[in-house]
Amino acid sequence: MAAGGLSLSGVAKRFGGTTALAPLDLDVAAGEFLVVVGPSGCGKSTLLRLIAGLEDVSAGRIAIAGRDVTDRPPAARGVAMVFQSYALYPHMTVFENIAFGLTRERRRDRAALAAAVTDTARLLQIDGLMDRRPAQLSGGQRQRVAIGRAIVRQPAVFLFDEPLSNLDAALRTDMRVELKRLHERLGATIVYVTHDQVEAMTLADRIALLNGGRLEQAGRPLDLYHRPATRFVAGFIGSPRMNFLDVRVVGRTAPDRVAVAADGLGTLVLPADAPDGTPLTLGIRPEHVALTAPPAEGDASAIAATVRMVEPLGALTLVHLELAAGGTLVAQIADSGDRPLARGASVGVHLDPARCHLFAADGRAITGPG
Amino acid sequence: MRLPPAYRLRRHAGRVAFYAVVAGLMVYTLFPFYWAVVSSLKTGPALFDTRLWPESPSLANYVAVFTEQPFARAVANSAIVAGATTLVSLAVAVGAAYALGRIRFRGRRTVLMTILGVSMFPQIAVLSGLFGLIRWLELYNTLGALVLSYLIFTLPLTVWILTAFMADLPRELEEAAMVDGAGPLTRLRRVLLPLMAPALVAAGLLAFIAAWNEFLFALTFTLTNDQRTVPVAIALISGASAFELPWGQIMAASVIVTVPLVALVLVFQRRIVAGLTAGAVKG
Repeated sequence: MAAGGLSLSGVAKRFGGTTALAPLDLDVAAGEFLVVVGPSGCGKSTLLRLIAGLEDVSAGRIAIAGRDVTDRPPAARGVAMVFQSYALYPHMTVFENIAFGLTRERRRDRAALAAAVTDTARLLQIDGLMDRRPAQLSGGQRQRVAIGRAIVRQPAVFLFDEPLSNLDAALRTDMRVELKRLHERLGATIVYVTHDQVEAMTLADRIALLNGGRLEQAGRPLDLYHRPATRFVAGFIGSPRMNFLDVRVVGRTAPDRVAVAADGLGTLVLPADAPDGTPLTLGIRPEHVALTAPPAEGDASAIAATVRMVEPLGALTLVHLELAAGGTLVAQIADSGDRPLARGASVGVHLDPARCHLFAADGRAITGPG
Repeated sequence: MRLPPAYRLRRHAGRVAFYAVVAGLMVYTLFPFYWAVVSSLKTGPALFDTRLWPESPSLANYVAVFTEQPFARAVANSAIVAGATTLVSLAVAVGAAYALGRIRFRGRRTVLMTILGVSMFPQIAVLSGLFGLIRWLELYNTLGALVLSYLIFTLPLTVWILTAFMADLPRELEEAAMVDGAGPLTRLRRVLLPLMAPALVAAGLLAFIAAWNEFLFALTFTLTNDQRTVPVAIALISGASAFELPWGQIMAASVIVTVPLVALVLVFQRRIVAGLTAGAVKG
């Protein structure tokens, strides 16, 4: 492991009889931006609190910058944390809030202290607010103070706990960009927890997706997007969500290619291996669902569908489809100005086999593009 | 826009009634104190005069309280006892509130209920037992006996107020301080105590007032003038003969001991309101 990074080996957490986090191995390289994402209750906040030392591990070891810190208190771990509620000290000014985290040695030198705090504040553009108290700040300003309090400590690892979830949508987008820029500028190692997959995709060098206390998949954002390891990952990453259809293996065309089919869907040949009759789930992202002219009677090469709803988003249009054979699909198409789609219109649907994912009954991906 | 006359009349009448009630309440609560002030300014037979303001007000009673009675000593004793009781109560209650408001442990509710239960015993019921305890500790006729016995009723009060307040303080603040490298004492001194200031002021004032006014324990556990507190000293003020009750001096003493309490409450009144309501609306 590189110096300055973070290494978790077999880290687990149980609260009484319930498992909050199953044993987990995860390495974060120095300077890496890791986003831990998952639905609420998946154990991502617990993981962050374990790294911070606010909770004790039930098993496993945690190392920060090559040093085992499993049994060290939070203060001795070299971490700084930005809380969801910001947790600014309400009775202190912005200056005092930022200065609070500086070590006693650094506090002793008044001039150096003031310089460190001022530099940090300038970096975050809050240097004009030094004498205000948190109650006199807007949400975005409080957020910056909380980040400043973390930066000034120059920690080995930054921990962010859903830091943008209390901001309104416009501010959230701005802060997201700013956080990314800050990361590039500081070259800091960051572990960032969120439930928002857009934040995860845009910020992360690498994403760790947790579900039910287990690590579903860890990898680069586009790896998770294009090669989800499980059906859960496929459904969680990407908006609009991936379409899922129940299919069945109907034959084998080659040793590693199977044909899958469902009533009214026709037959698709995909690179996978499974015995005949195996029930599988076929996944395809809305942008890979192509609309064609309605298929002729008896034409099995295209799927007949009816438009149920159209959501024009400007550059893109979402088309909700009802398949003739039952089931629904969402297609995301480029602007359909030249081919207006009305509710109730009949269309044909083409699924590109190269873009289809297959998941076994237990959720594991058994094939996928690439 | 003009409102209909009937409506304006009703609104007018409502306002008059409101101020009449306020005035009635003020007379009810303030008149006894006013009468004490007036009586303290009278001497001799003028005390039996029922006019609202004395003909020839005099401060003679105030001088007499300090020259003829051991009153200065009593005021000092009261200040020491009430001050010490308040400080000990707050110090112990901060620790107790941290445990009860922050740490989840089996029996937490039972402990809270027991603390409340202790304060429900009538003073007279614990008097003899407490007397035995104080004799055993050899604290009889000392101010220490009073501080010890007053803690019985000030502690439940302060512990409950501070616990409710502590439970409302966001835990993240403390966790943030922990991650920021602050040890337990720094967290207490620089984060928790400043945030708890309103509750500390409210609880401290209530404890101080209770200790300042206490009579029964003070009467029972002290014997000599040099250990008496103000309420007992006032009750024992005696005149030149057994047939004379020096009402003027008693009233003057009563007014004097009220002043510090009124001053304290006025100084801290904004904080006391914040402290009493904080923690009251916990979800």
